Amino acid sequence: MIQLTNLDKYYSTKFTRTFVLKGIDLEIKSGEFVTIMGPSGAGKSTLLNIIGMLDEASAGEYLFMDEPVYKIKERKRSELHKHHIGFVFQAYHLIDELTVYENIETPLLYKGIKGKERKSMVADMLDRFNIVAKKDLFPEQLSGGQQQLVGVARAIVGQPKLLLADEPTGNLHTEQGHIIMDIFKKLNQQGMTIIQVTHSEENAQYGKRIVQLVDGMVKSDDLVAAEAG
Amino acid sequence: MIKNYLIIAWRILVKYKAYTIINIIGLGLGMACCLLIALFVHEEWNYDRFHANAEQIHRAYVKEDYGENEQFFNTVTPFPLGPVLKDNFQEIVAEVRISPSSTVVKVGNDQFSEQLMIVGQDFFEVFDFELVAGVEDQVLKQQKGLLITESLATRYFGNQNPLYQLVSIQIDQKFEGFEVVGILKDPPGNSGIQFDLLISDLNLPKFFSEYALTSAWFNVTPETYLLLKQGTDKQQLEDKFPTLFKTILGEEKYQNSQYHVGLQPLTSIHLDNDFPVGLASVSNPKYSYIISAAALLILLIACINYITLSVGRSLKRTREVGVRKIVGATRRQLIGQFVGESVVVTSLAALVAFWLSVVNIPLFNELSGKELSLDFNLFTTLLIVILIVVVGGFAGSYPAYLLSLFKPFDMLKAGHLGNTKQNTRKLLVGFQIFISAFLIASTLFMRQQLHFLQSKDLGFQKEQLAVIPMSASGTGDLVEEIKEGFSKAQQMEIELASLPGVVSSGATSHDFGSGNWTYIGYTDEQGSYRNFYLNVIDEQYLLTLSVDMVEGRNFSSQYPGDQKTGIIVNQAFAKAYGWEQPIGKRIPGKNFGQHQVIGVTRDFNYASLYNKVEPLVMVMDPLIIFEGSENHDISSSPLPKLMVRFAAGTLSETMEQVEQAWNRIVGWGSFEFTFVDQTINAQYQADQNLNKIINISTWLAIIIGSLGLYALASLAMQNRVKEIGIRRVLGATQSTLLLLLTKEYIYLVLTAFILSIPITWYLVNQWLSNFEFKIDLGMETFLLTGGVAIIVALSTIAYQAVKTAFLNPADTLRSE
Ligand SMILES: Nc1ncnc2c1ncn2[C@@H]1O[C@H](COP(=O)(O)OP(=O)(O)O)[C@@H](O)[C@H]1O
Ligand SMILES: [Mg+2]
Repeated sequence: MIQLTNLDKYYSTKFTRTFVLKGIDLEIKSGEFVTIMGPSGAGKSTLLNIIGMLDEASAGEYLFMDEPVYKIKERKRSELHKHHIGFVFQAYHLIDELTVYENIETPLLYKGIKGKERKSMVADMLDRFNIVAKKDLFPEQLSGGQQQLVGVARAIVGQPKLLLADEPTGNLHTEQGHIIMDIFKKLNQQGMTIIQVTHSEENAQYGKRIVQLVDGMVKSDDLVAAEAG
Repeated sequence: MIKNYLIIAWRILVKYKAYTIINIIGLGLGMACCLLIALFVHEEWNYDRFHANAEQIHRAYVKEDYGENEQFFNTVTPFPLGPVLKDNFQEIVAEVRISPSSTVVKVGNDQFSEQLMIVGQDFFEVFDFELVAGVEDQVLKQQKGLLITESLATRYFGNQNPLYQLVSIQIDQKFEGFEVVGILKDPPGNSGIQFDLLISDLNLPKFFSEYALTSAWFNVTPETYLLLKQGTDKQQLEDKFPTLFKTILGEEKYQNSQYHVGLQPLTSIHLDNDFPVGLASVSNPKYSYIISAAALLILLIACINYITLSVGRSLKRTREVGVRKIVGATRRQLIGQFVGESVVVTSLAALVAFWLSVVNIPLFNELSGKELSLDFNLFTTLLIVILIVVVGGFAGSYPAYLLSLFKPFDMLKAGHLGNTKQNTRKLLVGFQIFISAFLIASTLFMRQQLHFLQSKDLGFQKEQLAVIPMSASGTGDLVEEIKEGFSKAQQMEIELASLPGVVSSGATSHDFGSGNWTYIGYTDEQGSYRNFYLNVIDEQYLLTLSVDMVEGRNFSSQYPGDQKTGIIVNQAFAKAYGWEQPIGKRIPGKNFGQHQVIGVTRDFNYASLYNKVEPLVMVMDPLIIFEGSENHDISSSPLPKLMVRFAAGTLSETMEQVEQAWNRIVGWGSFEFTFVDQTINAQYQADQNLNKIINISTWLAIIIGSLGLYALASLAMQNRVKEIGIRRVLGATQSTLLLLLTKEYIYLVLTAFILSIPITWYLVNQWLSNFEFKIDLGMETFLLTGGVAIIVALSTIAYQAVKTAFLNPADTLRSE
């Protein structure tokens, strides 16, 4: 599904070129659950954003479903975001002016899904995450964990093939973090490819593979020994 | 999807109420201006189009060309023109002549001064003026039949049925009985042809000589309207005219005068300034352009507010846009959303605009001299929809474009977007200040000029001076009538001399502010064509006006010769004729009667200050001049008037005594008077209205612009709270911080103001070029404008700046 070859990301100033990612080779197959770990500033978010096509690599090759990404046009990128990729953020990034229900509904609107079907899909999510009672509340009226549930619901309501999560539990209590992780695991079992960034060893155990990133380079890439929980 | 957009739009509007209100008020004011102006322009463009045959109706005009300085171009025509054209060309279905006549109407014991229209019998075949009572094809066949408008009927007869009422109309100093046989709807406001009373052209022989009506091809009185057969080519028809007029006038007269008759489409009369004004009203499109431009500028300022505020606030919306992009929104969908939002705001503003227009339409009508009304019809609905779409699209698209441009990655790292578009915003706000400064300076200069017009020394004293017409009938032998009027005026003068409230009184042919004085053209002894203006006066006239003599003396009863042979000229005349020693000179035209210059007056402004003071001749007996005149044009009534100067204080009492004297001496018609300073001021009405409009525009621009600046400054200051906190911790004083916060705005205002100076200078000078007498554009006014702009801008942002500078740094830094 994802094939990165000798990928660089750098920022140029007048005199220097600062590498954030350097010589990344990474292949992620459909159905994997990968955790990216590493110290702060190692380039994890940058890598995830490049994979999610929110940012561009400076050099190297990136094939997404066997297609070179640099060739993908704005319109096609919107299509990919709509149909194949879901995002979960550390800071939730819900739309403040929309209710829980409307936040979850938004991707479906852009997908052009019709009223009735849309309703049942959103209802399904509310059900699944146990937030039916909260559907008419605004984000600021929810706790962090609840907001992140909405964030996850919004990311997966369109049934993407790939879910990208950048420290999804970073702002949450351990307990809330486990709930999210359980959901991720279940989704992966149903066939969704997941790439997450986390600092927590415990959460990493939910996945199948751990990539260690240090100073913009892959330091290690191992399968998770034993299944947790 | 749309629903989702609308929901979010509405919630954002409610959440940021202050911005919403500023935007809606600003856009509402701007759109209201545009709405009113559009109604105005729409009416101007649709003038005279309500006649079913509008496209087939043409007005005839006549041109004569005798060589340099001797061309005549008239849209009033000879009497025989209409009938002759109709008889000779089968393309002409009908012909209607319209001749005005000032007269007095007696209804019971009441008398009214009226403008009577004598119209052709096919009036209703050609035009679509509505008859509410009476039979269209009969009412004008009756010689003694009178048609009056509904509003006049109410004035004359109140609630009584006006039909078949009897009234008397003064014709040639006698009153004749007429019967009301038809009631007309008042002519619509967008009709060039306006009237209160109509009588049939069967009455023409009572007003005009047989010769005038059938053979006077070089005298012009009525307007002639022709109804052409459907499909007639105007050009082809006009091409047939020369042959006809060669025959009628004879080869020699035809060649001498280059007699040319042409047709002007009815629908183009109102806006065509290349044609001389006839009876139908003509508007100066320049004023429409100026007020349309003012309205658009105000709307533009309001749009800029919307743009700068949206962009300023977009900081807070970057995350929303980023998220939308990530879940798959295309750029086009995002632009659609933002434009949609501005359409919502604009629609709300349109409601405000509609309400403001309805409330202010009386004021607008007063300023524009129209009778517009704002009804819900197809035109206004369409207009409002177009305004919403255009303004919404214009105001919404830039912020939308900007937001949709950013990469979602950058947007989620909020704070990144803040400074990138500062410069564009500054440019836009600078442009608002530029427009405001231009408007402020323009309105100040216009006011100065108008004040100058009112206070300029005209060479005579216009205060406490009234004009009382001596005769109201416009018929018979003009010279005889003028003589008679003067003798009545003389008797009045003797009567009035005994009144303590009257300082002095004198008689004249022409008054001020009601059109050109009599124009005289002649060929001098060297064979070149020359001209001057003429007035007939008596000994008391110049004294009453307090016009100074610079040489010689005034007319005097001590010199009986003055009556027949004395003339007084003005300085402009002496100068134009190169006379060093004017006294005793004679006008160099051989046919003038025996005469000599006995005095030279100072150049007093007998015409408006739009014109320079042209050579003027004043006589007691006009015959000596008319004998030698080849052309004369009497475009304002030369019938004698009495100028009365009142002493201060006892005006109303004295006026009653004057009226009693008038009743004894003149005795018929109705007593009327006007004050010279008022009629003189009225000449500048159009420019006074223009000044009012620019004045209102200026206030609106300042208000809307200040609201925008206030909101923008509050956004900008919010972004600097942290910076200011740090600076204070580092030891900056509050005054240096204030300076820091306001400095950039002062620069902005100064730059915009300086850039506005050349534009203002150019455009105000353009306007001033209408006037022969005008002010100089002083630097003080520009400085005043700059001062006002800076003070307004500073006081607008002062609150925000002070608030920011005085914030406790502990509070601002802790929250970060
Ligand atoms: N726009 C930018 N310009 C320069 N450097 C940047 C920019 N964005 C991120 N970086 C740098 O890239 C590095 C990696 O950032 P990031 O991917 O967010 O790290 P992580 O998520 O692993 O903590 C950091 O050192 C950061 O300073
Ligand atoms: Mg990170």
